[in-house]
Order: sequence, then C-alpha cells, then structure tokens
Amino acid sequence: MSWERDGHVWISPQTGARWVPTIGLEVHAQLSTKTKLFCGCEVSFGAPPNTHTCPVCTGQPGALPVLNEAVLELAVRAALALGADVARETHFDRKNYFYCDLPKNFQTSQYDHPFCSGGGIELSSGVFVRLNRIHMEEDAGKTMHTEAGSLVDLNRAGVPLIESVTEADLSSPEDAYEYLTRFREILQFAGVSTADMEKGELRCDVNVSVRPEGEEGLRTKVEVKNLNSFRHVQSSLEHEIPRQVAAYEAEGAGAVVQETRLWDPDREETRTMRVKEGESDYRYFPCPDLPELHLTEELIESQRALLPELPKERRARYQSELGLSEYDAGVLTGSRATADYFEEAAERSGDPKATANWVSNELLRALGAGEVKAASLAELSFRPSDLSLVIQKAASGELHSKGARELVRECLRTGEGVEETIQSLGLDEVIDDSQLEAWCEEALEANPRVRDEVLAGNAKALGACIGPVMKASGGKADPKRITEVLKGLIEGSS
Amino acid sequence: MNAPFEGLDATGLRDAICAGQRGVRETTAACLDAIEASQDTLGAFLTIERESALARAEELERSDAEPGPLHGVPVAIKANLCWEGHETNCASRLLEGWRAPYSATSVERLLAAGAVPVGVTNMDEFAMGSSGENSAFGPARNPWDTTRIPGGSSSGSAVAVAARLVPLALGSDTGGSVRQPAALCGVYGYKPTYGRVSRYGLVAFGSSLDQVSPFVTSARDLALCMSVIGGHDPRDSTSLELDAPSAALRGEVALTGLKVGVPKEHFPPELDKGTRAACEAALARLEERGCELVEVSLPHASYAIPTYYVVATAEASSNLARFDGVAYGQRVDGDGSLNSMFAATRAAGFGDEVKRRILIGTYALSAGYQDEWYGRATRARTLLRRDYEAAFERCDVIAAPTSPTVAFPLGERTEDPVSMYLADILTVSASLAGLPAVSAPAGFAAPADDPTKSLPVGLQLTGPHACDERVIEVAGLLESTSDDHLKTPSGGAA
Amino acid sequence: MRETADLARLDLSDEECARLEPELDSILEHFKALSELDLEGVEGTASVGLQDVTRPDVPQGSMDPETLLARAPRERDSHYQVPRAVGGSE
Ligand SMILES: [Mg+2]
Ligand SMILES: [Zn+2]
Repeated sequence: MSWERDGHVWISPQTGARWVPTIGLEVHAQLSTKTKLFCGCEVSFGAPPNTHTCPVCTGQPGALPVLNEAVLELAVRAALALGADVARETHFDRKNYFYCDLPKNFQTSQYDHPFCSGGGIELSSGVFVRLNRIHMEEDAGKTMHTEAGSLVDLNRAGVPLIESVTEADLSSPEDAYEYLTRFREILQFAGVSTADMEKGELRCDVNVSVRPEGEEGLRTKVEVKNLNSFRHVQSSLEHEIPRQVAAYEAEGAGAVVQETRLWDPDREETRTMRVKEGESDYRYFPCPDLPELHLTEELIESQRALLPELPKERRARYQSELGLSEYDAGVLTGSRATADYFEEAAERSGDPKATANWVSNELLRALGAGEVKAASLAELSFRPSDLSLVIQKAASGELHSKGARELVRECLRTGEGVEETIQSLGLDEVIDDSQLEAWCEEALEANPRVRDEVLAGNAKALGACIGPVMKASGGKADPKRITEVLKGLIEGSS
Repeated sequence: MNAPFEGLDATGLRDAICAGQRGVRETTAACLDAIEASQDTLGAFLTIERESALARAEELERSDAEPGPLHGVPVAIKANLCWEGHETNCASRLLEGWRAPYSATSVERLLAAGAVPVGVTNMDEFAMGSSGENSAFGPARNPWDTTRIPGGSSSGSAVAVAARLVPLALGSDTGGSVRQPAALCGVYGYKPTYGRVSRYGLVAFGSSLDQVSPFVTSARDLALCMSVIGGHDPRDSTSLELDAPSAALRGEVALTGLKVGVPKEHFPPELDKGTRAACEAALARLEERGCELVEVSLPHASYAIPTYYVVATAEASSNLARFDGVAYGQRVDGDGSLNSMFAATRAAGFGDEVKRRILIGTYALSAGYQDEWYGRATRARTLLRRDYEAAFERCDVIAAPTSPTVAFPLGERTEDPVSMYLADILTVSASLAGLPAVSAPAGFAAPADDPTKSLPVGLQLTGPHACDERVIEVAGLLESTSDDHLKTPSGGAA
Repeated sequence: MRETADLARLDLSDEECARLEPELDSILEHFKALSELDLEGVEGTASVGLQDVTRPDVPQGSMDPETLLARAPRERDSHYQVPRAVGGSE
C-alpha cells in the first residue's frame, strides 16, 4: 500500500484522512579525546575486548573518577558551534539503573543542570530545529548476545559523549535525515567529533508521534532505537509513521502506546522492544565524587577562538566569493578534511574552479572508489601543494590535460612526488613536430575517409586519427597539438 | 598474651627499630603471633597476612634505602581499603574471596613509608554499623570486656590497636566509624578534614562523608600518620590541594589561651552519667592548662541523625549498585535472566543492615520522594555546616563526648536499628560538615548496666575546616594531662 | 517496599519483607523530623569543598585485562559473561 504525501502531510490510503507527524531526535556523539571521560584509558576502536580498561572504567570497588579537561573543552566548542548557551555552573549527576554493561550500575551524566541549552540547526526548508539541551555523559560498554549468554566488553565504558536533544520541530523523515547530516558536519567541522556512525561515534534515537492535521496537542510518542545510519533513521520513520496512523485508524485513540521500539533493517519494520520491568526511575542526584564545574569566560572564549568557519558559511562563501556552483560547494564541504584541502589548494593555485574540479573529479572519486588507502583527503600523501603545482603546470601548458590527469592518478597510486612522477611517466619528454607530423600522416593514410569528411565540414571526424597518434607517441603527445597538426596536414594538402 | 612491642607507640617503635634495638622481622613475627593468639577472643582480623608481612619485613631489613617514617611498623588495614593482591571483602559475603587488583592511595603511602601491613581487619559489612556486629564473618569484641561491642564500623582496627596488637591501624569514618570505636576501645581515632586523605581505593559508602582515618595510641602518632597518608591525590577529585599535615606537634605554649567550645546540645540530659563526668573532668584539665572553656551552640544538632542517614544511605544505594555479580565478587544465578541474577546475587550477598540502608537510600532518592527526603537532607546539611561556622567564630576547637555511652553488650541493640543509629548522634555532625575531629582517650566510666565495670570514654575534639594540625595538637595537650591513653585492657596483648 | 526492592535489585523473600518493612517504617518515622525544619531559601550541600577539578587528556595506560577478567565470576573469550540480557543501555 503506498502512502501519498502532500508536503508534510501523509494521506491515508484507507480513509484519505490527512495526518501530520511530529519528530524529535536524541543524538549521542562521541567527543574526540585521547582518553576516556574519567580515567586515563585510551579511547579505542576495534581493540581486543577489555584491553582498554582500568579500575575506574570497570567500576572496581574504591575507584574514583577524575574529569578529562579535554571533554569540557570539546563540549563547550560543540555547544558554541550549535549556537547554544553555555551554562556558567554545571555538575555531573548519577543516573541509576542496572545493566550488565554499565559497570557501576549508574551512568555519570547530567540532569537538571546540563552544561548548555538552546541553539539549533536551520534546515534547507528554512525550518529551525531547536535544541532543548546538550549534556555530557559517559558511554556504557558493549554487550554481545550469544547462545552462551551475553558477553560484555568494557572498552567503550567511560568514553565521553555529548547527548543532544531536539525539540519536536521536525516533521518528515527527510527533515530527520537532513538534520542529522547537518549536525554531523557541524561537529566534524568544529573538530569535536569524527562522528563516524560505523564506529558508533554517532548514535540516534527518534521520538515520533502522529496526529490528524489540524488537531491541537500532540499524541503519544514512540521512541525508536537501533538506528545505525542516517538511512535507517529515515526508513524507520517512513515505516513508523504509517504504522501509527494505521493503528489509530483501526483501533481509535489509545491504539499507540508509549514504548520503545527497535528498527529491524532487514524486515523493514519497527517492533516493540521487550518492555522493561518496572517504571524507569533513575533516582538522579549530584555525583558526590565530582566537584562542581564553573565554565569560565576564559574557557568559553578560548573555544570560540578555535571554532572554524562552519559548513553552511563555507558553502555560501564558495559560491559568492569563489564562483562555484551550489553543487560543487556542497561536495567540497562534505567534510572538514575535504573543505580544508580544497581551500589550501585553491589558495595556492589561484584557480578555485579548476581546483574544485580536480578535488571532486579526481581526488574524491579515487577516495570513493577505494583507489587510495585513506579515510579522508587529510591522509593523502598528495598534498594541496602538489595539486596546485599540477594545476599551474597544466595552466602554463607544461602539461596537457590528459597528461595531468595521468600524473595525478599515478601520484595517488604510488605516493611519489609530482616532479618524480613527471619524469617516471616521461611527461617531460618533448615530442618534436616532425615526428608528430610523421605519425599524423601515417594515421591519415590508414584512414583515408577522414580527410574527405573533414574537408566536407565534419571536423569531428579527426577524432578517428587522434587515437592512433596518441598510441604511437606512447601517450605523451598533447591531443590538442595532434588536432592542430592533423588539421594543418589536411588543409595544406587540399 | 605476649606483648609484641611492649607498649611502644608507632613513633617509639620506629625509633627503636631505627636505633637497632629491635629487628623488623622479630617485631613483625611477634606481632603476627600475638594476633593469632588473640583471634578466638577478639576476632579483630579477617585475614592475617603472615607470609607477605614476613617477606616485607625481610625486604625492609635488607634494604639500604633511607628508612621511612613508619619503618618496620606493623599496621592493620580495614577490609574496605584496597590492598593489591589481598582480600578486601568489606566483611561481606558478596565480596568474599575478592582480591583487590590495586591499592588504595592511603595503603600505598603506608607502604612507601616503610610500614608492614600484617592483616585485614574486621568491620561492619560495607562500613554500615556502629557496633561491629554487622560483619558477615562474626563480630570483633571489645578487649576491655569481650562480652561487649568494640563499636563500629571500624571494629577490628579499633580492637587491634586497643589490644596493642598493632600500634597503628587504618579505618574509615563516614559518620563516626573510627571515632566511636576509638572512644569505646580507649584509643585515638582521627577523622581528618574531608578531602585531607585520599579516598581512592576506599570502597565507597557515603562518598561525600567517607574519610580514611587512623587509630593510634598517642597524639604524636596521629601527627606522624597524617603526615604519611595525608596530602593531595590527583586520583581523587575531592582531595584537597593541601600538603599533608605536619609530622611534629608544636608545644603546649602555642595552645595557651585556646578557646574550647562546649556545645550544650552535645551534653544532653540522656547522656550517660559516667561519660558526662569523664568528659567534664577532661575539660577541666584542659582549663587548668590555660584553655578557656566557652559555651557554644549547634542549634540543628538534633537533626543530624536523620540528615546523616538520609544522605549516607542515598549515596550508598548508588555506590553499592555495582555489586551485581558481573565483574567481581560472588554471583548467584537466579532464574536465568540478567535481572534475576542481579537480584539474587545482591539478596544472598548483602546482610540485613546493608539491605536496610540500600532500601532507605533507594526510597529517599526515588521519584516523588526525592524532594522530601534526599533534597531536604542536603539542605538541612547546609544548616548544620552553618552551625559550626557560627560556633567557630567563638572558639578554636569544639569539645564533646564522642559517644553517648560506653561500650554496650553484644546483641543489645541488634533488634532495634533506630537505637543503633543513635550511637552516632555525637559524631555525625562533624562528618556532615566535613570537619576534622578526633576521639581522644578521656578516662573511664561504668556502663549503666553494670556499675562494677570500668570502660573507656572518649572526648571528641572538632576543629574548623582544614585545621587538622590544631585538632591533633589539642589532643596532645589533653594527653599530657593524664595517663589514660597508656592504660591497656587486660584482654589485650600488652 | 517491593517496588523499592525491585529498583535496588534486591530479591527479598516474603519473610524478609515482613521483617524489614516495620523496621524501615520506624526508621523513616524517626527521620520525619526533617520535615519540621524551615528550609526556605536554603541551598543544598551535595558535597563539601572543591570546584573544577580536571586532569589532562593524557593516556595513562590500561590495566592488564587478565588481572580484571580473572576476578569475574564468569569469563568467556575475554568478555564478562552474564545470563542472556534483554533491553540495553540508555
Ligand atoms: Mg543518554
Ligand atoms: Zn579506564
């Protein structure tokens, strides 16, 4: 059954009734620190189980937490990047609940005095998604459910997170997707989180309710968990919204209960997570092991100074000042590493448009295709200075465009420098015109119809001869020059 | 019983060892023998670490290093202080067999000073109790009368020092757990200013109240011990950034004209007659030495017990949540689910008093009751702190009985938790205010139930925040007025 | 009482409940004195002392995993093993 939509309104295929969803997001993001929130264990990914643990993060009797100063700095910077107000006084609270991967059976988090409030993100539709709050907290460990029971790895226990909670300002699965994209890029640009979902550095829970268009007040909201990618967030909403509408239409008010549901990406459905026994009663109270915090003007200003230009501003500047298209500006701000790479290369080469083309057509393509072993442009041995050198050589005619492309690909493949690669590819060998003319004549003789077609006005026919000449030159000849020579030969002989 | 160190205090013993008058091994062995001989009657120790003690004694004797301030001094460690490789079971079934994977800072500092830990002492389970009767492994007994309680929760450490089995033992004081048994056993028990001794490695009961606290037999030993275990520790966020208190006591002259505040609320009508008389006599001796007695008031003293018990149990309910059978301690499987494993483990592992306090604390923090209980108690705590601030505007130290009675018979109060809680009525106030307080030997009195007996009485001296040296010096002054501190029980080893 | 015990993960027998409940009631009754206090405008003291204690973000090394895992009641493939859990962390 397909659901027709009219903007944010979902039209029931059963009744034709118009329903509106209301969506809020809770996002946990891991801060990019070297060590955990309260102990000196290194933050790791993919390490053997329980190798990054100590008395503190395994909750041994008697162990005590000491706050990592970098957490405070990164959290404040994140708040500033999201336009939030940083509280001057804050503290940690204990959130008490039992679970096997929560070693102390309380999570050190923040309750009634989160370190910041307010702020938000504007979507392309112009909707401003408000943030209710952001707070700092420690991550739990990881539990693997097996036939032999559950197995707990505490490497993640105590990793620093910020949890941000939006107001219910989103009204479509696409909004949710866009919000998350923007949220991630802001954290990445601000340098506070690498926010890699595959590594669990960014996790999202969704709260969603539906109501008939025009109805006052909100209906029961459902929390959806286990959303491991932005796509999952979007698809889970695309399924959960119709599920709630159908339930209301079939069973009336009360059909949707307040619960937590899990998204099953294989079966493309949400289903009730087995209901936890008892009501959640977290018995929050201030953590007596951690003194109060005063977020000073000095700390806040030092973090503000470290805040780089954010993606939205960069996109606008690339278009207005560098004359790039909206599309290119979007591609080049896809990550902080890409944008920083591009800007450095563009500055050095003095040709932003050419730089933009090289970055998106060659470098990002090679990265995406897995042709180079690097997670981002920041890791390439082919530096922005190398790219600008290539661009300058191409502009001066020292390299022809095909040769330049070959050069860049070879540099990426081998990791060698630009000058060495020019030599090893023989791109510096000059082909003298008499040799070129000889090859062109050979090609024209082999394809006699070309001469006639060109003379009849079809210049494109020359193409059939360019390939053989390139081949004869070992790829070193400049296609532009070949065309000129061919034209000269045909015109001269007529 | 043999006398392992002939009535010497820790300072005297160290001096004798350093002067070559005694060997470390000989001292250690004598001490271990005396402890073993005392176990059936006193039950002060949970484990006697003969092997490690003798090995360490030998190592110290062989070492060429400069002897430390506690060189060769046998010490006992309360069973809630982590001592790496040794059983730190908190006198609980739940932690039976658990060997600490690391050492508490205070234990590390004792070791670094050359002390020889000889064993782990008995206590009320998880430091919850005022009589020593809540040990899962049977109570320790008062050496002055083995039918009576030694006080608690640091029962075994108090008994070990009172019976002269060791000259120095570590305990922990949350609401009087060192001062009260020190009073009842006739030794010095000192609770430092909150934050003066690191809590790292002390199994937490009430985190905002707990302090590692020593028992000794002389005022100069208090100074010596505090100079070793005191001082800032970066592993405890609540550790004050102050140096350890000085090892030396200033002379009596410095104390002339000292104003000793006498709070009328701590001499209530229901105070034991003998206790009152002994304390008043001690105050009179201080007056003779040039101190001025001034009446002060602690108007909120009658709220100290409920305030203390609500705060301490709330914190305890969270601190003890970690004992769940996952990463350490004993486990009981339950019906196969994780939650039933938690609940079965905790039900089997904890004794009645621990359960009582966890239940009270959980309730005091739970939704709907938090404001009424935990919230009110933390605010009442503020009033109690202000009481002391006001009182210290009129005096330099405050003096009062440590315990409202001398040692009561084993079993007398076990059926009545409220009467047991009232044993702490005079000690909890200083804990709530975080102030330094010592219980010093102050004579003897007959218990109300048996006029033929003579049992120790303690005088509690409380100082302003961080004035630890002053408190110890006044204890020294009082010590010079009598030989109460030199009297030893016939049941002891001396 | 049962609710509180469940929150605290204490599996109390009926006999224990019957014994502990009146004790807890009498304790709480005694503590009710707190409600007499006029606490208007009084801030709470949640902990005594310090502010702004932090440490530098410098790795201190972790503990040998065997030391900690060896203390677990049950271990499997370098993990803490527990009965099959449902639900998850918050
Ligand atoms: Mg959270
Ligand atoms: Zn750790």
